[in-house]
Amino acid sequence: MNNEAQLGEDFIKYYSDLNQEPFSLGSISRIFGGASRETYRLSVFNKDLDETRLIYRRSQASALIETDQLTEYSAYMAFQNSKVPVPKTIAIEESADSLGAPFIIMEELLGEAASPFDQAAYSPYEEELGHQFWNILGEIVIKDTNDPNLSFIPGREFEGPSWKRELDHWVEVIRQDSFGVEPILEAAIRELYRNPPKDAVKKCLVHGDYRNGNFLSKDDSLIGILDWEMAHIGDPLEDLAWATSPIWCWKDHNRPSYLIQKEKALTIWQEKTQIKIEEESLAWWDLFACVKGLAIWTSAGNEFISGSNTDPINLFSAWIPGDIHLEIILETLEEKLIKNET
Amino acid sequence: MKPDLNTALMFCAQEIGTLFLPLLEKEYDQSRLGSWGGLMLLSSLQIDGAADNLNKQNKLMMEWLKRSKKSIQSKTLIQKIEECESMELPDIKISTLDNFNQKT
Repeated sequence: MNNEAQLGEDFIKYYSDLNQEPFSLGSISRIFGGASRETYRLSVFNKDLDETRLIYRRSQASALIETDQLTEYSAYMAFQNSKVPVPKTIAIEESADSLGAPFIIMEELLGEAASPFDQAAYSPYEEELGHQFWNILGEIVIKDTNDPNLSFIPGREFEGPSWKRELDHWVEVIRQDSFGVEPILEAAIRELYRNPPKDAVKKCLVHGDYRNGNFLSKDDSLIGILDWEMAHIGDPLEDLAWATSPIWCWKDHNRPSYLIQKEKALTIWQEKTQIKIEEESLAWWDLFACVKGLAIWTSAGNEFISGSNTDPINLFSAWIPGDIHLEIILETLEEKLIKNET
Repeated sequence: MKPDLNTALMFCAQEIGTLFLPLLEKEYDQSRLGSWGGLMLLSSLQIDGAADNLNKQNKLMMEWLKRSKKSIQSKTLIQKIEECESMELPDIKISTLDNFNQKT
C-alpha cells in the first residue's frame, strides 16, 4: 500500500470515529502547490452512499513558513456563514497523535484557484470578481477582533506598533534562512527601519497572504478565501499593500491581482473600511511587502538547498518571485532617491 | 562542436512534457513533473548567460565600491574593499563568481 492509500485508510478511521458512523473512502488525491502544508482532496461516503467532499490539510515535517494549524482554523471559524466566504470547518487536531501530523479538515468548495502569474486567469469576470475581492478585504478589516474565535490569532498581545512586529519577524526569518547576503534586500530593510510608517489607524485582522491565487472562484462569483496560515492582528494597510504588490500583476501593474484597476480597488476598500489611505504609510507597506516576500522566497530557497523539501515549488519561488521582488525594491528605492534629490 | 548544455536541457524538458507527463495518473505527480519540466526549460534559457551576468554584476559592484571608497571612514571596510580589488579569481566557474559576488 502506498503512502497516499495508507493515509486515506487512516483518515477514514479517524473520520468515522469523529462522526460516530462508518464512512468509506471514495478517493484521495494530493493537491499540488503551496509549500507550507500537504493538502489532500478526499471523497467519502456514508452508509447510505451519500458523498461528502473534503479538504484535509496536514503540516509538513518541513514547513516553509512555520505556522500552527490553529491560526488558519481560527480564521475559518471566525468567518463561517459571513460575508467573507470560507470553507465549512469540520475538525482540527493540533497533535500528531491521530494521523502523524497536525491537521485541519474542511468541506471542499467547488471552485477554481488560479495561478497568480496568469494574466487572463479571471477573464471575462475580472470586474465582478474584482469588486468582490476588494469588498471582502474590507470586510476582513472591519471584522471585530474581539470575536472569541480570533483569540488565538498571533499579534494580539503585541503592544508596540504593528509595523515593527512584522518587520522584526520577517527580518529574523531572513537572518535565519539566508545562505548569503543580498545587498538590495539589505538596503530595503535599512530604509524601512529608518522611515517607519504612521501608527495603524486601527489594529485589525490581517489575512497575511491576500492575493490572486489564494481564492476560489466559480464563473463570476468569488466563493472562498483560502490560505489563512499567516493571519495575525496588525495594520489594515499590510494586506492592502500585499494584494496590490506588482508581483501579483507583473504584466499589468495597474490591475492588482489581475482584477480591476488599482484606483477603483482602493476606492472600494476605503468605502468599505471607512479608512482614508495615508499614502506615505501605504508606500512603506508596499516596500515591506517586498521584504516579506523575499523572506518567504529565501525560506523556500533554504528548504531546497538544504534538501529538507525539494518540491519544485521551492525552487521556483526562490528563482522567479525572488528576482521580481528585488526588481521592485530597486525601482522603489531609485524613485525615492530621485524624489529626495529634486 | 558538441551540442550545448542549454540545448540538451531544452530537449529534455520537452520530452518530460510530451513523453513522460501523460504516463502519470495522479494529478499531483503530473503537476510536480510538469513543474520540473518548466524549471528545466527556464534553466536552459538562463544557463548560457549565467556566468556572464554574474561577471558583469561583480564588475559593477567593484566599480561602485572603488568610487565610494573615498567617502568610507571605516578602515576595516576600506581594507576589505582593497582585498577584493587585488583578488584574482582562479577560474570563471559560476561557483567562483558567486563566491566573489558575496565577498563584494
